[in-house]
Amino acid sequence: MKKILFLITISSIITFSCNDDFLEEYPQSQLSEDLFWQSEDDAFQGLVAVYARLGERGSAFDEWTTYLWGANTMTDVAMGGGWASSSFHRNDIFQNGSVNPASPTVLRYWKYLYGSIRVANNFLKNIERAEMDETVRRGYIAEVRFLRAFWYTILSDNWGGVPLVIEPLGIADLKIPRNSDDEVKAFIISELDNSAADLPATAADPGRITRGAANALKARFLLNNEMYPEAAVAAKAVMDSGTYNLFQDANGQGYFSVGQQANEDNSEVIFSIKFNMPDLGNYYQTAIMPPAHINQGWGAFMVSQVFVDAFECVDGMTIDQSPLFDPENPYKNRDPRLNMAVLKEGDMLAGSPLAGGTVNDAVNTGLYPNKAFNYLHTGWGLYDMDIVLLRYAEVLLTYAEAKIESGTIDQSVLDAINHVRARAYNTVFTDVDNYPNVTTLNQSELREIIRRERNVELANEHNDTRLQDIKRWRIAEDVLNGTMFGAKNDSGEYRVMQQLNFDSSKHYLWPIPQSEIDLIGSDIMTQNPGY
Amino acid sequence: MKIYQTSDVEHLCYNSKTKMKLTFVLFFAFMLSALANTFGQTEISINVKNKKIVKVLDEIEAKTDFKFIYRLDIFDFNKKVSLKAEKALIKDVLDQLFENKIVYYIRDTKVLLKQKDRNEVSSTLIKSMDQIETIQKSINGKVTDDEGNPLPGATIIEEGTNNGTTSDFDGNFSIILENENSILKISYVGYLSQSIITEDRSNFNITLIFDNSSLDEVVVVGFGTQKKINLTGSIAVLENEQIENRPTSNVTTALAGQLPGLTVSQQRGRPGGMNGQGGADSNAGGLNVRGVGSLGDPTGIVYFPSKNAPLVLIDGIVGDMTNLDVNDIQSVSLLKDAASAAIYGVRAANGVILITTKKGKTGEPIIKYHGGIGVSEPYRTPERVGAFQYATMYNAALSNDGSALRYTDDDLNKWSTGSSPNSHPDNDQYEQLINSGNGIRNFHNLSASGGTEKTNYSLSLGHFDENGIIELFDYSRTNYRLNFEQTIGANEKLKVGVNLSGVNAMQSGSTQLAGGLIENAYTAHPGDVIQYENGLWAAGQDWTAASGTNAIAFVKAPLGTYDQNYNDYINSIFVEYDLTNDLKIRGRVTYRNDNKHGDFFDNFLKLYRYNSSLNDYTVGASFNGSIRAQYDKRKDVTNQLIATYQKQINSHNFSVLLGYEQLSFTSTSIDAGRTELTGNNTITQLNGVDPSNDQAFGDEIIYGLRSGFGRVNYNFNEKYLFEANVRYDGTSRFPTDTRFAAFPSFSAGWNLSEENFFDSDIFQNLKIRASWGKLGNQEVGDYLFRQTLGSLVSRENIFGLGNVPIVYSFGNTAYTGLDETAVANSDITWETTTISDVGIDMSIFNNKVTFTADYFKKTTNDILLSLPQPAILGMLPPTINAASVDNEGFEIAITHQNKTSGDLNYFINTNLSYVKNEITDLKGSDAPGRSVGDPINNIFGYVADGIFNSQAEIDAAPDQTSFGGAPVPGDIRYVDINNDGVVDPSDRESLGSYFPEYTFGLTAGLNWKNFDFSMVWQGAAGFKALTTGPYVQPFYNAARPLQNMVNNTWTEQNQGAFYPRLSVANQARNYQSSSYWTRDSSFAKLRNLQIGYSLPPSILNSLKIKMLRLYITGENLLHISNIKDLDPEFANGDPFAFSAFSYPSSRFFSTGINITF
Repeated sequence: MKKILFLITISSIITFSCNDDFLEEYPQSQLSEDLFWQSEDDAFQGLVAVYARLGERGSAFDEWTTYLWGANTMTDVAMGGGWASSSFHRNDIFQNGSVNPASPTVLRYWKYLYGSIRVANNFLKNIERAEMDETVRRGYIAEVRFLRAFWYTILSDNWGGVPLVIEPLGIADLKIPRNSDDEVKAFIISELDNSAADLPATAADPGRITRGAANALKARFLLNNEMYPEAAVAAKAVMDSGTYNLFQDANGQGYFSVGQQANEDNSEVIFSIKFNMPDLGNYYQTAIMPPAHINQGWGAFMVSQVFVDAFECVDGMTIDQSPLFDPENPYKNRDPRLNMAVLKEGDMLAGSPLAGGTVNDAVNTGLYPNKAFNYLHTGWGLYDMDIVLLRYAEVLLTYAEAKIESGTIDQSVLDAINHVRARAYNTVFTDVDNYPNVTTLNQSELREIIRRERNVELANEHNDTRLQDIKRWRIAEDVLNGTMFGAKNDSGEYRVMQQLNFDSSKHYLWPIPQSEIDLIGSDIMTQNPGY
Repeated sequence: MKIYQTSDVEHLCYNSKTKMKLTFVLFFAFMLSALANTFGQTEISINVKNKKIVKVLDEIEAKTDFKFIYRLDIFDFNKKVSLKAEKALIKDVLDQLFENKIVYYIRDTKVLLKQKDRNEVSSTLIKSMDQIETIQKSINGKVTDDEGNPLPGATIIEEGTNNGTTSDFDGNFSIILENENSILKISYVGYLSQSIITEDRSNFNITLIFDNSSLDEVVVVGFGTQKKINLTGSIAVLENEQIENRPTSNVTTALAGQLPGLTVSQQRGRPGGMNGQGGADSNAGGLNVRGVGSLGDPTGIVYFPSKNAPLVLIDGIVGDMTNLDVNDIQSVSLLKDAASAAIYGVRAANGVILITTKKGKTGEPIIKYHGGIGVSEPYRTPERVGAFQYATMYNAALSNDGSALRYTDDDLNKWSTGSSPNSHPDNDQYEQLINSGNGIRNFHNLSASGGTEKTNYSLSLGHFDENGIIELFDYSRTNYRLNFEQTIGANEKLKVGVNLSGVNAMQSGSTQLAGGLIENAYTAHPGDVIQYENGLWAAGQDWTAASGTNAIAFVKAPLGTYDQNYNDYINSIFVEYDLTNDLKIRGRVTYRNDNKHGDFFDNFLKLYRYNSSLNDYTVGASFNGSIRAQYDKRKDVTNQLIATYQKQINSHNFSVLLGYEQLSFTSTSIDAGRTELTGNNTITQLNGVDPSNDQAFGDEIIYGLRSGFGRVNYNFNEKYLFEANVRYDGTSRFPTDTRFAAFPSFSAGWNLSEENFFDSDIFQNLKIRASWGKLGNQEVGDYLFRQTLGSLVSRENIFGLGNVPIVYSFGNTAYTGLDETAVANSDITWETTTISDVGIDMSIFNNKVTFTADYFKKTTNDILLSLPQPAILGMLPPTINAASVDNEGFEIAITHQNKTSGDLNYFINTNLSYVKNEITDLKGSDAPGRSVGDPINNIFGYVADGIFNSQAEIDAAPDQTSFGGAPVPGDIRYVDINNDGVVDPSDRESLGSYFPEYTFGLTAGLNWKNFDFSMVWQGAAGFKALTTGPYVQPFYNAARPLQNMVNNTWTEQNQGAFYPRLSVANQARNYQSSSYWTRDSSFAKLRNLQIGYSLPPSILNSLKIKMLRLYITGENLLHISNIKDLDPEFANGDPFAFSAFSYPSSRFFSTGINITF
């Protein structure tokens, strides 16, 4: 009897003990990765997290600090403003030549990009575990590979060769060197090719990535890397898809309103960052609106006079050549896009003219980036206008430049340019009497035209085309040296915005953040030349 | 007359020698069955020098299974002999010992010694004891001590039965025997037990001999006990007598000064030791064993849960020392070195405290009551200036700043004379606050214990009630505990038992933090009204613009009450089975259910201002109500299976312990509330109030530990001692593949005094010992290796914006995403502590003096640290095992006890500990104030070099403008350490440690006739405090200056003053963390003093009471320290606890009574 009692006790203790899962405990108030990634729903939530990086700052205060939104303020066409600590303002290191390995701005962009790449890598590592429809899975993977490639294009365009991180790293995996520039480029191109194959021609929901987006981004990246024939092919694929058109609105101001909230997801938009209140808004509007105005903005985005001067006169000639140009009325007889792109002293915004401190304060130039303003909502607050990252006009101009530079100039080049110019004049490209169409087939003339065209059509929007254009054209040392001026003040003198300084021996690439070299080791992680 | 004696009858074994075959095999492969030895065949090795025969017999008993029973008058058992035998037959050894004058009767393992009859033939010497005839049935006797004094309450048990009695007040007893040939066992606490064989006698006079041999002392060690003489590890022990009469709510503070190697740091005076030990807002002491071993606690030691806290086990189960009734404690063992603690593996790196509760002893029920009542009062609180002095000094400060004066001569006159109590009162809110509670404390404990040979029990019920010196801040607690054991069956191989204990405690308080209330009161303006004559509470507008707070109203009105209830129940059952005489196996299951329940209730309160123009009162501040309910449930299940094997082969003594243990902890919490309630609210439950501001939170943490462990002891003749321990622990806190690790330890000792060559009358014992081992620390957090997902952004965030939802829109629909919340550290593992220890124990002058000393070196590696990582990681860096810390020190303990020939007994115990720690590796993450070479508890700041007396001195000094502007005469002068001409943050340096290097304790006591006296001193030295706030800065947050600042601030006429010039402007310059404000924190505290009187037996007899003692006592009676106005211990281990805004220290006086029925 006692033996039995004892046996029962002992065996009950051992039974208690023999549960294999006894030491496998999982957090109870957080999902655990081991237990996640089981279903299509899980995979979708993971997908959303990757997309969310695009708008991550959306509900935060400093969302406009991310690279894309401030890239124009690293070039000759605009300057960051607002309070001194604002990220736009900090972009002046790329304009005044003070950028160095310890610059916090450089590290911030680096961190943002690798942080985003990690989310994508994490998705790609786990997605195969989910039980789901294979087609859907392939589609998700393609979207994430597109986004990861997109972030890598920014790394590649600005830093050259960088570490290719393609899976989530542990802290033991971090002592890795930079891949070569070519390796990174090849990776990006191959990723975009692969994702294009699995992406749909049109998205089920606006905001999702399509094959067109993959090809458009590929065209942009190939162009940036002077791979012209390939760029032309990629752009042509978008053009031939028949999915996209240049947008025109009832007022003939499609150039201005293509990015406006009222026209979100129009046929020209290839890919945009989606914002939707109340779940996801941004303060971008508040940041770039003029200060000391009814809109109470921070004036974080100040346009320079060279941008104004880039617009042709209606005769298709530049202002230094056109007889139509009147220095006393500089905005008269100009490419209609000038008045759609730039707000100047005396212009009305939200029913109130820009005047006084709005245009005269020391930090202000009197010129604001009109296209970026959200005309549906003005004033201080959190708003939700989409940020267009890729639009069809860029594809046309990329096609044109690629053909021009590869020496395969033909009518399709002129058509592509003229499509864009005709839209600006609210007409069709065949209506050559009503807009200054381009007719020359001379490569150097066309080169000059396409460069101007890209500037006035694409600059001072939310992308880095101007930044990469001036690098590709090797004109950065020309346009980023000397004084940056704003509009004339009441005394008739150009406002001085800042002194520019670009050292072509090093500034074509950004420095690797010093902390990264220190932590990985200078024997492993090399610095870019000149820093 | 026949009187027989054994030294330890309780260990007699009457079981049949029949071997029980193991019919089942557990995982204990080591099990051996002992071979039956008969007396005639048993061989023994023995080597004694100059020992009493009694002791020699004890030794033979210890080495064999045999127990000797003998009459004291048949031979001179006190005769000293020397004897040496190697593997000799036991009979031959005994014959040699008794010069062939004794014969032996054997029954089972008992050996009855009888005088040899001359006529007996040697071949028949060994007989069966059954031949002894007995006829007695009724026995009478008297028990006395060796001086002839009767011993009332001695226990008399008829062995092998439940039959027993106790002696009466004259030491007399009578008992009717159940069996013939019975053996009576007579025992009395503190005396050697005796057994008598009744045989043909009916009347006995029994003289019990006082047992003053500390060498037989048994010490509680991990999963067992060990004779003190055989200990090879470093263990400090505290017995119940040294704390059981301490009327403190908190065992932690009762330990202060009593255990060498333990640093107790009490930093608050709030009643109740909640939130575990060292809770931030309780009077519980923070505990550190041999220094601070890890980094990562916010301030080193006070926070809970702490990475640096020792493991506390109550009867082998993780317990809460702060809610334990001191009356229940039998002993406290502090396991300090790795040899002692390694059997607790991953939880032992910070030392282990084993608390054993009282068990019943065989004998008639002993019923005890201990109770008392007392009162506490604030002690060591700041002495501050009155209103007149306040205004005068404030004007002087404004004058120094070049500002207009605030107080007119009329104001000053009114405060000086007290002529206008309405407009110019002198209200000291702080004094009122810290005297608002009545401070009454009462405590009661009633216990009953007793037992028979087969059963023992101890039952106790306690109640403790402590009112704070601040109203609302009270504590009360009710404890019960039952320890019960039952031996089952005729062969007595099976034993079962239960340990049940429960505590129901409540720490009540305000919804305002004590520190906040105290700060409000401390900084209130002297001229502000507290309560208007019509009873309305004032918002305090008269002299302060809009304080809107009134600490007195907050506790008196009150603003809110926050009552935290704790219910902690531990239910434990065990079964023990003797597989053989040598091998025992014991299984135990314990279920602990620890619930906390907080009721947070804010009233709707309005504070008023008097508006003289309206001649009316207007609302100056109003507070909305809120209700919050918090539930925390912790469930621990512990399963243990332990086998012990003991064997002696000649002089070789082995014991082996193997165990398996499994713990599972589940902690669940819910916190729900409704806030912003308006209107007077009497509803206390959530459902009754406005739901528009709901809040709810909840969480659950589960962790498990599964372990196997073992210990092997070997000694040769108690001379050469060896021990090895290992614990193999697996914990859910670490990754699947690496969660198991072994923690070994080894130790050895040498009892020099047992050696033949060691011939000294001075030393009763001299032992040297050494140990080495490894321990782990798993208190690093849960799930750190798990990759978790969340819907809030938590990755490397450019602007440090946390808690941004992960959300994105497709079309017009927003979706929530899930993303990693952190980089899991899949390599995370234990912090590992390695301790080496050498020690010496000695016992001299007839055991009147004992001396123990230890030197140790403790190295902790793999301390978790968050190191910067390359940004290509893409996430915030995880914490990784990186840093190392060294602790090195020594402990010395000396005890002296003496019984004089007169009526005087006394004892003095002293101990001194020294420990110094140093950070030895931070993997390059050194930062100012925490670098390799610094102590963990580093005070870091500028070095001050007096006060500038003139502009010329300022001009000649290094630039001091980095604090904003240039200094003026009367400001502190800082030293330009790096000699770059500018005083700036790079000139800061280490200013000392705020963890004490030395801690010491002194306990002493004496008994004289019926009086007794005892005291406990605790002290610490070799550390600094960085004094801050109103303690150094006049008008800090407008608070009243300290009295000692009066005429002690720098002016041109008073250049020798200690404090810088009075100012209410630029406060930053003079109140930097600097050597100017660091003080030597050394202190000594009289923790307890007690004087008792026991009523003489002549009175007690008539009251039918065995013992009655009355005493008066005091706690925290006296502080000796350089630091005035504050409890010096408040700086101990936390530079910022040293604030006038802490719940103050109090002093407690009490009377008490001990009664034994």
